[in-house]
Amino acid sequence: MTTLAHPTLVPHAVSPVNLFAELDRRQPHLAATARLFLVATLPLLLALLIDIRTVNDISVWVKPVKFLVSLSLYYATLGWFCAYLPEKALRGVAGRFVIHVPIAVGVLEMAWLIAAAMHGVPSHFNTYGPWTVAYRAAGIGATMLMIGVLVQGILIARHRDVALAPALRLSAVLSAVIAFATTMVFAGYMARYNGHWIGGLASDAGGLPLLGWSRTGGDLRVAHFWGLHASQLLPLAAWTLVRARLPLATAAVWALAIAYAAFVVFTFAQALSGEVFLPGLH
Amino acid sequence: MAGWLVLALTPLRWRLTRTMALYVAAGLAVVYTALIAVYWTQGSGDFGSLAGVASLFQHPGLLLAGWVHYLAFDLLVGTWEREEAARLGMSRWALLPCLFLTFLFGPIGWLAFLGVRHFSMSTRVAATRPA
Repeated sequence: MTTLAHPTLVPHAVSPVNLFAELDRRQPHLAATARLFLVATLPLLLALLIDIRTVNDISVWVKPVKFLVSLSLYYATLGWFCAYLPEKALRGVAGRFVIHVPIAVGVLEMAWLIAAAMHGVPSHFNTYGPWTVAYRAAGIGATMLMIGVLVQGILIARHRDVALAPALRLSAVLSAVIAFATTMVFAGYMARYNGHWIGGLASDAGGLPLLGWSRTGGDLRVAHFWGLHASQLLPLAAWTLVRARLPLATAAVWALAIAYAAFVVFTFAQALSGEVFLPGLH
Repeated sequence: MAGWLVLALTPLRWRLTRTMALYVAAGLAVVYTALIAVYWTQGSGDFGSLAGVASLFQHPGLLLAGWVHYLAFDLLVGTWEREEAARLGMSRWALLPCLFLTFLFGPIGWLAFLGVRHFSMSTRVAATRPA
């Protein structure tokens, strides 16, 4: 019965205007959080305009804004994939974990980033006094965020009673595994390396527009970014394939996932050898 | 200021006025949030004593934040007064001086409105009482 009625079997086009309404329908709590994080950028963007203080030579407010946007995307994706799970899976312990733990952790994570910006000090890699405790706790929090993604991926792989194009389901599962594995390894490496610049200048001034990655040397944030945003990019690619009704979509998703993982590992190796991401770009 | 004029002059039944006033107040709240985010850790002082508060407002950024705080909350109180007046069918002429006082001296305007509302209710009770 649900197999015929469910809209995700062949995904329909969603205009950006309807995006939040659709998200609300899929998982209201995650949709609300995604929306609130996006709105929260407004006062911080204003703060960015009036504050002259800097960390690593750029405004202290750039980082909280970037994290708000990234987390908003994260919640939107998590909420979007909730529609791929049957009601009973969402009501279970794992299902409730996927919804509530990331919301609580993300709010704390942002509170820390904003508090650091208010004090004009670094957040990550800050081992001065009480900030050390916050930084350590944030590491555990970030791990929770990624465990949320992984648990949802496992649930989607196990509960197959929601009718869904096989390529889409596969992309949701593979992207969860890739996002979790790469983020754990790369972010973990950054934490132990105690920084993200390799070679080049230890400054965010003159970084890649919007993303801020170093243009003078290796930057571990590149691999971290592509790794964790596999959650959005791979399913988006799969969605496009299914929409276009291309044959062998499942095989294509496998190929894309492997290629994507290889690309992420490549950006990591590139940073490790002190090379700039997109060296041809000036 | 524009928000206050709209509150005072548009027909009391207009729902759009309330929405507009709330958007203006929200805009002021966003500005306030940004100012506090930037300047809170840069000033010295606290709310524990008069000297502490005086010291806080020595900082121009926090002084500006304090002013925006007045503007936002006074406007919200004004919106509420209008809402109440519309709900109880009070006269615009009873509301206007209260709005004006709220705009200038926030709490005095609010007290004045409470007084006017009480008086307006009493005249209504008198009107419905059988002669």
